[in-house]
Amino acid sequence: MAIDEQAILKSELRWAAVVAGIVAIILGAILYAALSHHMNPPSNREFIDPKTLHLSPEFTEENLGTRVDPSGRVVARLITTQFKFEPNCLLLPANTDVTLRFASPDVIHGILITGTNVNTMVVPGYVAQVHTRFTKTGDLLMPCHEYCGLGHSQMIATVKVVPPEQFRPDATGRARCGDDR
Amino acid sequence: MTAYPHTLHDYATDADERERLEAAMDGAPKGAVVVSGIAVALLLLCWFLIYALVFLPRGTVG
Repeated sequence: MAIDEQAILKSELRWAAVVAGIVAIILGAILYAALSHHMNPPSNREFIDPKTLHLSPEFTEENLGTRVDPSGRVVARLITTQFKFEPNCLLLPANTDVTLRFASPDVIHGILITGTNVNTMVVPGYVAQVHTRFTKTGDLLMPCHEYCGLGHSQMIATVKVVPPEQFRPDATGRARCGDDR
Repeated sequence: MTAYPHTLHDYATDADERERLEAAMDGAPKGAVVVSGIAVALLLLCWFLIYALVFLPRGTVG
């Protein structure tokens, strides 16, 4: 039986066209999410000295946690360190654009918030920043997902998402979880 | 030197067997396309289900 090389080439070209079509469809879906839903990988490039993090204007102890700045923007700042989050609970409003900013003074950590697309690495020397909007209320877990040492499995925080009417920052613009220090 | 069979034809011992072999081989590429087509379609379907039912509802991020 003679092998029909033309027939093989034809079927391979057809298959290549199908694969190219699939890749185009998937890229289209990714572009659709990026352009219409603003879903992009967090890509902040901002430097900070990890040795003097506690002295920096932004990541001093009294500035950590959720804060509503004068322009009304809700910003939460956290330090991820071996083996805890500081603070270990964030209070955030639902259906509101929020900005999360993380910095690490020691080693590489990673965070994700369960049930959401929030997921980023926290690398010493950089500020990791994620813009998001929580659509559901409740207590969401935020574990460290990058092995950071022996206590890694104990490194977990809570993000308390409340309805906007229950989100009441104090006179200085700070909002805390009820059991927060 | 031992002569090893190189093509399926070398295995067929008589004309009748050769004919049956050719008939089977005629349908083989179509079967391969159907099997791989179903596999790829299922994979693509799963990707879209996760995209639409898990990824998009998890909300905006950037």
